[in-house]
Amino acid sequence: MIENELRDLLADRAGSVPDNPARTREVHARVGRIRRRRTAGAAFVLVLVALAGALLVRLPGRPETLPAGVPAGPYFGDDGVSRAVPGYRGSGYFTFGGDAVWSYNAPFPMLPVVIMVGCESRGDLTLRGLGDDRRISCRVPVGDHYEGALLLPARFVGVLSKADVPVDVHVEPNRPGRWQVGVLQPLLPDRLTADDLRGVLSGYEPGRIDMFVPSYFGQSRTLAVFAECVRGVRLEIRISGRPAGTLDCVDRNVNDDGLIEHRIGDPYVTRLGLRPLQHILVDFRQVAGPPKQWAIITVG
Amino acid sequence: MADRSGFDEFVATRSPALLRTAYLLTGDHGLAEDLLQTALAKCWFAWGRIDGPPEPYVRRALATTYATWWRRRWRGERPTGEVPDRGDPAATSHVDDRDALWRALGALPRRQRAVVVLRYYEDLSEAETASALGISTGTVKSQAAKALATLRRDADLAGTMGGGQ
Repeated sequence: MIENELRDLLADRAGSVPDNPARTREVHARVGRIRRRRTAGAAFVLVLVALAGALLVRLPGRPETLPAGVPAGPYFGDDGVSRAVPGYRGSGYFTFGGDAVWSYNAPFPMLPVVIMVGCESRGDLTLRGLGDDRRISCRVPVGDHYEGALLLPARFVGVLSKADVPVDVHVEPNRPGRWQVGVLQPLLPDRLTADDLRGVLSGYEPGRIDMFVPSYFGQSRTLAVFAECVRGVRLEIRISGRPAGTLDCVDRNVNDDGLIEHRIGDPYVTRLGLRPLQHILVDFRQVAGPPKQWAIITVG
Repeated sequence: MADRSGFDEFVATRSPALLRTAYLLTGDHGLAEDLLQTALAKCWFAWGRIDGPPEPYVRRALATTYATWWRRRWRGERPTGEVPDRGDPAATSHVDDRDALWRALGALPRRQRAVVVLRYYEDLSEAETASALGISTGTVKSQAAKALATLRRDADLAGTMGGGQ
């Protein structure tokens, strides 16, 4: 059974790791650096949080509808299991009853996020720790439970993300019973800045990748390209001057890591005669979509 | 002022075990140390508010930091103009089964690799894994199934481990 092989392998490999006796001191040095950054940025964060608070979309007068700009549910099934929302990925799931603390890791700065809530009976959930206190109305009937949502604009999420530490959000339901929260992020960002695009190539720094076909290429006979881009970008790929297909930035190509994953396989591999350790030049040329909004993270 | 007594003792006594988990997640000693220290630094800020034993909290910070890490600091493999050390293609046919499995594990998407490490090294339940990664139990099941299917599909493994057990 591969599960047993995995257990043995992981135990063996883990046993080979040397320890670092200076770790405690080095962790404290990191803490010091983070504290200095946070102090310096505190005023800036407060201003942006206040601005973002004014932008948060809430419709208190229509408690049985979801706020504008959030994707339609259902977010949770009647069995309590989260449901897929087309175009979005879910994360940060947390189930609780009564007041609790939810440790929330803010995602990539340029993505707005939707905080989704599920509850057994109609009620409101107060979130403390995201700038001003936020209240999410959980009153949209879905099967045998109710749901609600809150939209956090990308700029606001970017502020949280810059803190580089999890945000402790105190969640306070006004009704007993089981509650759930989770976060939805769009699969693809709406916009990318030069700072966001850290790859071997990008629309801001185009060029050519000079590389060797990996030694393990023979197993799958595919070259994997991992990219980050906004929806609609299309890149034409050439290997050593010859066509090798196109990479499309569409939802169906987003992998579990939130990256576009494109595989160059046959017929291109056969036509190009690719083999392990072959020296190749890989070119990407944008042929569609918003300009400069892409980066190649790696090819291998 | 938050009570952070015990943090240093925790780092001294428990961080070697956490480092092993970090190594299995990253596959690189240097990155593992960096990941662990990043997670520990995050936990320092929350130390006074952690209810109960801190290790599950730290482990969660480690796993979630790993799962989202690439966006903030990409340090992955980059194409190179120099020929890799492993210059003889024939050599790849002689690596043992463990190397093949380790390599296949390293090629998994991050979230799948995290699920595999937590389930098969840490021996966490599906619910505990879901909690550690901040994903749903259903996602843990699907990610674990995808990961095992990928590992089984690997040509080397199919030849040496019974072809898809």
